Amino acid sequence: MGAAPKQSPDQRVAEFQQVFARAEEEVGRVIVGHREVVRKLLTALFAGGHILIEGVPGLGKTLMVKTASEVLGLSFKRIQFTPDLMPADIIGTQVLTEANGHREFVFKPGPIFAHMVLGDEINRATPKTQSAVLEAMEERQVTVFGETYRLDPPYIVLATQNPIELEGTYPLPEAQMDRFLFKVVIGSPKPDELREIMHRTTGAQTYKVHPNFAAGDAAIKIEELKQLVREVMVSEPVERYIISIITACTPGSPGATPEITQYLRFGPSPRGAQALILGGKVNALLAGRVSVGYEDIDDTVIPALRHRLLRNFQAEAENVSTEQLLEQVTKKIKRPATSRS
Amino acid sequence: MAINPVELISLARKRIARIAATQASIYFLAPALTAIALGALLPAIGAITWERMGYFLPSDLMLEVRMVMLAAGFIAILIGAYLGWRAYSASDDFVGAAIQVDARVHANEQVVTLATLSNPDVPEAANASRSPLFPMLLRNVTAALNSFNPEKEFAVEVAEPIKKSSLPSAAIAIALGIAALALIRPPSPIDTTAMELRKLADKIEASATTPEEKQIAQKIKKVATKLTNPNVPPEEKKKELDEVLAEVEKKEASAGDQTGAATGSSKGSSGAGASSSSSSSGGSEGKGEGGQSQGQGKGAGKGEGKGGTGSSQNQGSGKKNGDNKGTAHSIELKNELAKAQAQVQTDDLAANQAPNKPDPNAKTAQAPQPGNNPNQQGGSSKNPNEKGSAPMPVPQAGNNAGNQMPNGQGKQPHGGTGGDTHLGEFPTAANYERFLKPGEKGMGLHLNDARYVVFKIPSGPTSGDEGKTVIDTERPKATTAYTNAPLAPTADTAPPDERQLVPPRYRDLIR
Repeated sequence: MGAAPKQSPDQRVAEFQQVFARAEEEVGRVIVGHREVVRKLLTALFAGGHILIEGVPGLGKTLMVKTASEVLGLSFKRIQFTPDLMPADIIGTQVLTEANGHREFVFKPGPIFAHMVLGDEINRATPKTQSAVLEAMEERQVTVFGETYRLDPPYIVLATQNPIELEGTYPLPEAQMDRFLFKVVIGSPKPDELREIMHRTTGAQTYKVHPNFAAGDAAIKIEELKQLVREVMVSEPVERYIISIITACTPGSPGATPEITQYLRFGPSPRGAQALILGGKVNALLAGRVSVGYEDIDDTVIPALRHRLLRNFQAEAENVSTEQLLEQVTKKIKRPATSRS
Repeated sequence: MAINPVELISLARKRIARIAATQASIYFLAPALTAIALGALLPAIGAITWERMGYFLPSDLMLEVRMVMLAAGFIAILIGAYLGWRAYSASDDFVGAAIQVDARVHANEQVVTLATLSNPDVPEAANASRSPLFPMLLRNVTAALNSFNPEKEFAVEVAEPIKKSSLPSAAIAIALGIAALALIRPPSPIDTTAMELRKLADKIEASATTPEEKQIAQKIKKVATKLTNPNVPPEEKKKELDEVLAEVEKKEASAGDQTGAATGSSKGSSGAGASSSSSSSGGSEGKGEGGQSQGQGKGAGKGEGKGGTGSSQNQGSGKKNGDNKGTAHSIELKNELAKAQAQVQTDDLAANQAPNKPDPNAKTAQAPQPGNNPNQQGGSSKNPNEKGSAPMPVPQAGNNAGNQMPNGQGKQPHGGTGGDTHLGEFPTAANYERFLKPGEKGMGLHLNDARYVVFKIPSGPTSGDEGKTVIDTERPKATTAYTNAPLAPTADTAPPDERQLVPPRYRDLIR
């Protein structure tokens, strides 16, 4: 991973764009619509983050993630979260085995050991089970009986949650939500898209995706591309722009807008700024640039911050969404005109 | 030709800073120039106000207002310069310039990023380990700035700052107008006279050919200034006016002497009075002729005194085309000086009478005290019918016409009541030049055109031998009724120009 890339910067950027575009295209062959969701999913993957997908059942969330893993040539595991799911069911456990005449405990990895892990309806599991995923998401490792096991990179958790049927669920706490780089919302398909879905899923023809990379090269290639994303440059005014966004979304801070102060209890953590920068970097590369612009940041604000803002009772009573608040913030914040402001 | 993006951004930086400084300065430049221009033109504005509206701004106030305007203008310039310097400092920013350049070339912050990483003001930024993608960034920025010209992209726009600064400029002009309205006042007679004197002095100075004339003009200006200065005592004003008048007359006389080689002859006839001098100078007639001048004057004087009457005639002729203007100035000047003398006297009298007014708040009543009657000789006398102790001016035969009449002299007074006009005797007309006999033609002032006629009451008579009063029994008797009561100062409703310091009884004579 740390090896110096042999390609020129232009070649690397071009390769990134190519891989990304092909992945989008291949997923698009299976998943009708939801182009923006697919884009954000891939963005989160190359930015090294995790993604929370929210949508009603039957919209193709699982299929989307599975298809993306196939396109990218990564291993894929799916965990269906239920109230009785235990951490060991996810992480794995020591199993007593007998070999060569003596017994020993052998670690049997759980489904979390994969490049792409789909946690389906993560809010249905108990907090204890949910927290078992936290270490894996953040540390890229799990600890079982005092023994730590690393997760192979690239590692991305894609969790889905159902916004309805909330009885008997355990909404993700803020600390856990904060660990997701993006939160994307899948909406209902449009009539044309729905028709296309019907055609594709009820006919005899099947779509087979073509992986981007050769078997065994995917992880390495993706890690190189992730490294490329990290190398994208950010200017000081853009950094200050990001800071001003974060500050404006923090109630009680000097730069907070009146709406933020009125409707929010808590603002984004520093992880929000990280998410903005990483998402912006991917966007810049997709545009063929090696430096982040304001537009790259603006495009990332809502998916990166919508789940990091904690609304207060008034906002919920008045049905003010975090998306509305973020849109107002981005409209009000001025871009720096000098380096001394 | 390959361009260096960093150098280009540096050029843009200087250009942006200069533009910012210029625009910041312009905001104050227009108000400054307005204030200075108005301050400089204030005398002209004051003159127009005086000419067209009849109001004037006192010179001391005008000076203060001018100073304020000029000071405000220079302060505004200083502020503009300071703001310009501050704007230059604030805009002299490498990354800030890169932001503007980036916006012009739509480089999506690539120029800004390059500037951040290559900022000459922050050497550590350049020394820090750069991203492996930096060459690509440099190439992208170079391509974006390939056709970028800071001089064209950042043009100096002065229209907007000037438009914005027109508001304070207008405010200054309006403030000056309001201040002028608050400060201007109708001129007092003495102010008017002083201004006229200044004008005349300017004219004389402009047409002066000799240092003496310039000196006189300066003196006139000085006197005009003193006239309007309330701190100068009236006596000093009078003295100065007398001096100037004397100088003017002296200059006139010398000018008359120097006008060509003049010849003159005089003839006279003695009056009835017996006087050793009357025989020789009872009448005179002269004629002068010069190479370039020709004039004619005739005068009739009547001396009053015990010796009887005398008559004198003076006739001279001369012509001097070049002196017409100077003569007009001289006459006008003398008129104005005479007016000034009269007004100073009036003001003095008013000032002296003011304390004699009964105090309405005073508990003890006080009988009105007789004031100084200008027509009463020896004004210190309480009895209006009693002759004052001051020497009564007695007209000296031909005395008043000394300058005008070469040899004209009337009879010598011999202790008669002489020029006591209260007795119905009229003083001898002094300025003969202003009157022409029927049939005579020549230059002179028409009384109809005169705005002022100033009568100089003859000075008091000298007492007779050893203090005895000699009663002239042969004096002509007054045919009109008169009173000896002192003339109370009456409110003169006439406009200042028409005010005449003449006893009412003489007004008919004037008209």
